[in-house]
Amino acid sequence: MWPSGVLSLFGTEIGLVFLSLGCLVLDIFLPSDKKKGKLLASVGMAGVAALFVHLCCQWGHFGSAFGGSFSQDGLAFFFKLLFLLAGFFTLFMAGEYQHHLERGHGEFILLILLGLTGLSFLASAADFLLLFVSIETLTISLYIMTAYLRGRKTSVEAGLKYLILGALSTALFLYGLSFIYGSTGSTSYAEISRKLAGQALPLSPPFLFGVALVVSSLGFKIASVPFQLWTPDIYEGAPTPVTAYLAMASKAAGFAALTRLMLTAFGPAQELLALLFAILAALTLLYGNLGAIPQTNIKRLLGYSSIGHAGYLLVGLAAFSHAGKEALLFYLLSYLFSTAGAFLVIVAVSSRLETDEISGYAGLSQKSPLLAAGMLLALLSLAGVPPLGGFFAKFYLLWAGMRAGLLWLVVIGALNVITSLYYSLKIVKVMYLDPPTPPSFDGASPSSGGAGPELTVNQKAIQYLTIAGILVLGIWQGPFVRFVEQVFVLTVH
Amino acid sequence: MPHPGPVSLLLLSPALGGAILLFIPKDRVEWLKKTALAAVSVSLALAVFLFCRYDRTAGGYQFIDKIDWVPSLGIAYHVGVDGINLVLLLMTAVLAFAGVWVSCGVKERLKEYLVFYLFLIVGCFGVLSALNIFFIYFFYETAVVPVFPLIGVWGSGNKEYATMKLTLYLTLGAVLALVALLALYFTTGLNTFDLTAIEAAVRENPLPLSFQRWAFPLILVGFGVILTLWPFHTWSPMGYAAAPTSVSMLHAGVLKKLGAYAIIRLGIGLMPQGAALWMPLVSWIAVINILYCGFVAYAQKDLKFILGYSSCSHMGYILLGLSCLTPVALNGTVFFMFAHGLMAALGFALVGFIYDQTHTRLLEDWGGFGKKIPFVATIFVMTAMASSGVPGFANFIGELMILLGAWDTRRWQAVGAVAGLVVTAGYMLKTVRASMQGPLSPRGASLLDAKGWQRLPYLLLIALLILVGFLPALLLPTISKGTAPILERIHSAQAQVPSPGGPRHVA
Repeated sequence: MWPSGVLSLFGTEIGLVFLSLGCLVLDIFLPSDKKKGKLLASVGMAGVAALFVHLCCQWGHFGSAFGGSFSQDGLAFFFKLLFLLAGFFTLFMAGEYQHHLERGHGEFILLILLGLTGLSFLASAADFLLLFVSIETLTISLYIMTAYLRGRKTSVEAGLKYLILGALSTALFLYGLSFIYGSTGSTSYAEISRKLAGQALPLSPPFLFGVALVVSSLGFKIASVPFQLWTPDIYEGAPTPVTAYLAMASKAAGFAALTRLMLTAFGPAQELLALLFAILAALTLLYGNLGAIPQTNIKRLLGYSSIGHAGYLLVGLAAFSHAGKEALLFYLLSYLFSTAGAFLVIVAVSSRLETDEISGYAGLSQKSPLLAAGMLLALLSLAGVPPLGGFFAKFYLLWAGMRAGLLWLVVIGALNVITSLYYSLKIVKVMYLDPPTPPSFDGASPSSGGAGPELTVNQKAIQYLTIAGILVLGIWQGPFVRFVEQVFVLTVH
Repeated sequence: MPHPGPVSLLLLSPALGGAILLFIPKDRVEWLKKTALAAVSVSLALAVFLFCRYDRTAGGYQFIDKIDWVPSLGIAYHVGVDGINLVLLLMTAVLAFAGVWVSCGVKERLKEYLVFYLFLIVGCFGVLSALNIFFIYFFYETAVVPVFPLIGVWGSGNKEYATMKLTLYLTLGAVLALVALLALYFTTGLNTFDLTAIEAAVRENPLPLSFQRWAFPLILVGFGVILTLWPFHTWSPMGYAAAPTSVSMLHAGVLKKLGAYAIIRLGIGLMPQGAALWMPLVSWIAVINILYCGFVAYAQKDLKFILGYSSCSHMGYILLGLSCLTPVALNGTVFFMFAHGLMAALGFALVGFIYDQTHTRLLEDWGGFGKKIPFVATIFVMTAMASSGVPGFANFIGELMILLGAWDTRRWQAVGAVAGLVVTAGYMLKTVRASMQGPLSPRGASLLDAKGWQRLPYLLLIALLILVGFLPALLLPTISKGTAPILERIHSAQAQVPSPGGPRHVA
């Protein structure tokens, strides 16, 4: 029997499992229609919000369980908060998105919650096996969700691509793990770093080979060069809430795993990996931001932009021990709110417009000032304009990069602000400068008679929530910086 | 939280005004205008208050507010005024007031316009009052971006291209400067962005020369882009031509000076040796600015392009003044920044006033307007005189001081700059003759002169130009108090580096 204190260490996971099961039961007993999906989404949001509050009360109540494979500490706490927020926003979008789905309204919500369970375990995983299982829990639900619009070719294509590449990434992970296990005799992070510390020559070639394979596998998750090619297609093809989930949660998951690995099992190889990450960061930054310029589909553009952001986040890993890890967490937080803001607008617009082409956003500022403002702030925050969260996030990361002596990388990062500002401003131009064309926009929303998409109170509230998040992170950074610093103080090394 | 001081209130007032505007329904036009005007009036009153109450005998930074913001990075909300930024804040407050006054004439989407405009004003105030490098940069970028929608939505002509070019150029400059500023942070080893702390440290131990050698040009070019440093000036005439009147006023009047201010504070002030290395080159670029942009202005047919190139040309004087690194020239530069800000804004305001009625800015379509609109024409002629450096206006004092300062150290460049005065007089007189004199152009048949309260911004600006032109002593003691510590650092830097061949100066 475990003492009750240990049980409360994974209260979030228990809560999420019960929430998923509860939704499953509701799904079985309620008649299938769009309303059910909306209802389940609301139930899920309420549950996630409750778990968020519960988790906040658990700050400082840390420890490990399951023989050290599950570790609830500062890092786990941070990422669980992040994932719960991402889940909350995704569930809301999924609720709004229900009428695009032909069937399986309830399961869609259920899959999001299951993915969230996987994410939550991943945040605490301190053993390669638990990491593997939690990644798979997340990824398998994402495979299904990506291909959810079975009538739409792009969605099915995206699902297939994601499945094949995901399987490859899984294989890489397991193959790498076999080398790590072979050279150290353990799958536990703590055990591995203890064994390596005891060895005269810790970085044996088999171990490094294994590390490289595991990093490659996680590189798929975070969409880093050279494992980024899937991103634009899948971002474009997947249902919008799933795209948002990929951007907000799946990318953060990769960084959660890498951060913990850098702190523990990969610690001895940290310097070598930092060099690798610096090179990857530069390439990823350039690929993502330059690739985004010619895009005409907003989801595809955000796909490329998310590659660019992976590049910035990799700067954090490259400057890991020089406050890079703190900057990384701050960046993820700001990225979450900015991405959520952008995708909320995309969901709202696409439900009236049936298109994700940027040209469809023409004149949005006159039809719906709130949606346009939400998109404006989200895009400018992503580009790194003050006084928004993305500005300080980039500043913090570049500061850390400079502290690590990576001048060349900081220059590349700083110059990429221009590219990302350019493609963001192109969208701003369409929303604010262009006249409201084409006329089909008005035809698609007969109820409003051309006045633009009418927003429900909930939509407005959530949009304001993201705007508030972006602004608070951009103006009053102090408490958040203290928080991310505290996260690492309270993390098991 | 401590009680906010006057500088913070000056900064908060337009920010608060902008926030209140968001909650006013957009059809309540009068409320919108009154709120915006109230916000900038408070700022103006506070700027005047600061200017009167600043202790000129003590000097240094006064009215300081400091709150720790992100302690682990050495970021603090830290504002205060010294002789340099006090004068520039006063100018900015006057222009903000005049600019909002002119903005009230905007017909469509007034609410959004005023929100963006007040936001822009906050950025300008912020750059000038912040004493923490992080916040200087923060506010600088804050001031750059709202111009994008302001020009894009409310501008005219080739506005979409112009606004994109302007924003990207200025941001490019900003990130170049950012790299240098981050490097500066780690070179000082103080773990703080606090400007006063870094200034104190630099006074004792100058930054390594190897660092100054490459960081100074980054700051110079980075902030020089907004100062229309040749060859990075092309965004400016195009942007000003496309921008709505009040944006041109603030951009030509204040934002360009932000670049010069940042170069004085962060470039010359912290890296005097780097400055000494690069300034000979800068002085020649300054001459190119003055002559090349002056000749281009001469060839223009669009009034706003004339003013745009004219302001690029005038920035050459600021660059020349900065390049001298001598007391007279540096004080003259700050004085000229004040004068040019008022003059440039006035010029754009007047052209905008006429353009709103004639809907053409081509010089050939204007003519004989002096008969129809005597008041505006009078101010226009006076502005042209001020621009050409006629005594009696503040610009004359500034240019004179810069040229006098340059005569000792940069003699041939000074000769070139004097030739530039002739060019300026040439295109200004040509403009006045073609627009205000001669037979009345049919396009001006229905022109109406400014009446009553409409005249306020023009009178305010021209009165200040004349007042300071006759009484430069109103500003100069304050300015020289502000530049003294910077000049002291320049001087000790020159003392430390033996100049090859010449006698060694001893502090």
